[in-house]
Amino acid sequence: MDISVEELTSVDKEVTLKAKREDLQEDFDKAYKKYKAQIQLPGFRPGKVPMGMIKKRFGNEIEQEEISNIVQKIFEKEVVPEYEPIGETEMLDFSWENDELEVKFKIGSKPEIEISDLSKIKVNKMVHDVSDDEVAEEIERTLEREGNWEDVEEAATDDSKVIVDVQTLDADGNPVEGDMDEGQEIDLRQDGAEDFRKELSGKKPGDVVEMELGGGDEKDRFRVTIKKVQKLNKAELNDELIESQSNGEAEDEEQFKSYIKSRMQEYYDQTAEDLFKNDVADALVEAHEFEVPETFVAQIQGSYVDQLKQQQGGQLPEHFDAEQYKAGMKDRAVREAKWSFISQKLQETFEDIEIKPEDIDEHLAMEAARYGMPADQLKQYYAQQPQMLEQLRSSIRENKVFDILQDKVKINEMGKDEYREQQEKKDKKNK
Amino acid sequence: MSVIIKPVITEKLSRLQEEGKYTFEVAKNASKPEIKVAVEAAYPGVKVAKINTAIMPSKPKGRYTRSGYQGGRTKVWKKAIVTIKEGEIDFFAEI
Repeated sequence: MDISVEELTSVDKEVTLKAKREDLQEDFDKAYKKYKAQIQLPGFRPGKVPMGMIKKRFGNEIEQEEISNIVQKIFEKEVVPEYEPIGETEMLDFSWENDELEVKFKIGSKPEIEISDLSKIKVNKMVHDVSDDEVAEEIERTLEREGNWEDVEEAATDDSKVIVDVQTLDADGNPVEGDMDEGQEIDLRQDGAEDFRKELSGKKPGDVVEMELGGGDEKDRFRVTIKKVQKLNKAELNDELIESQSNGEAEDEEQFKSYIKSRMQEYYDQTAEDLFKNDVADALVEAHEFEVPETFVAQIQGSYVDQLKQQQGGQLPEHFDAEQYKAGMKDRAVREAKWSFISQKLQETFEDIEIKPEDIDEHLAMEAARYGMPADQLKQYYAQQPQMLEQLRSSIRENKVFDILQDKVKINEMGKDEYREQQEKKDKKNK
Repeated sequence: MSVIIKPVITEKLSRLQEEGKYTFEVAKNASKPEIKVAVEAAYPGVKVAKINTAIMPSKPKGRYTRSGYQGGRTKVWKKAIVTIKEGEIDFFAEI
């Protein structure tokens, strides 16, 4: 058996396996022996079919199967330890003709990365302290959400909700038959309801308004009949509401405010943390120039399709063009591939990244709090799923990498609005 | 009806093949000279030395089904063991 390797790029290799019948004969004989015991032919007791007859009747199939076994075995024994393929190995060519075997694979290998000086990498980080005003706004929103709508006989205002029948009209203003939506609720406070706000504000129940929606040539005409006008009665901030909204943690208004404040702060901190991780990864990917194996990128692209499939409930939409989707996701996949190599390299570089049992407990407790389920239940769930546990470990390891990175890279702290501006600029630049 | 119906391949008969004896199911009314001609025509390059024939008797054969025992008998057939002095027969050449 002959193994030769050709380098396509610094990270993509083409491996060729060549073999002659003599090299494989021993394995073939073993395979024949194995099948001899299993083959059943009428006229023969099991295992008593003559070898010559087996070779004549089943030889091709047995040899083909044995070849693919041998190729796999050799690939795992000889190629994997030496070249450590990454991603999905692709078979380019397979031929078994005139007693000569030739198989070609494309494998990806781990790129060599030199981690650059981390202290030179600048990353923006959002820092935001929740103010009392924001708390007051949030409480106001809660009261509105918990309030109820009451039918009134007054004219609608910008803060009302109207219940209307909408009849589509054709170009001449005649109703289109069958195109009637009854009992539509329109909340005039919403941003998207601007046109309705303009037309319906000041109208009373029973009023009929003809209006046009959309711009340019695509104008749609409607006849809107107002059936009801509703006014919002905000909920009262009383003990009952405070208890139900804080899951029993707050007892009076002051406690409720501090409860809301801590929840909002937690949310902002978590968001800032997530964004920071994203930004650090982006910055590091940008700071390191290296090639990633195509096979690995292809694997990530494949996983995107799987994810999409899962999101769609196990089935891809009809006429879905997976290749096109993959092509569209290529940049993202390359970025993810690069980050994965950088992260691996960082994990090797940094010391003190070992996972201790406390780390797992801590991580589980955090996740449990996030999803609002008991930590024990989550622990049990992970215990039943070994692959998930591996994922958990790698995500803890990655978190540790981020913790260390936080100390090493240069962080530029900024407020929420400034951060958003910076982010928008960055997005524009990328486009 | 053609003289040779099909080759018979069993454990015992494939042992006989090593001695150059090949077995066929043949038409019940076929004579030894007819079988010789038919074999030599079907397998070019083969010379037949000797033919032994036997009429295989019918045997009772039945099975138990939901509606009780279904009886029957196997058919009567003629077996021809052809000894060859020249050439070789490969029953699986066409497969």
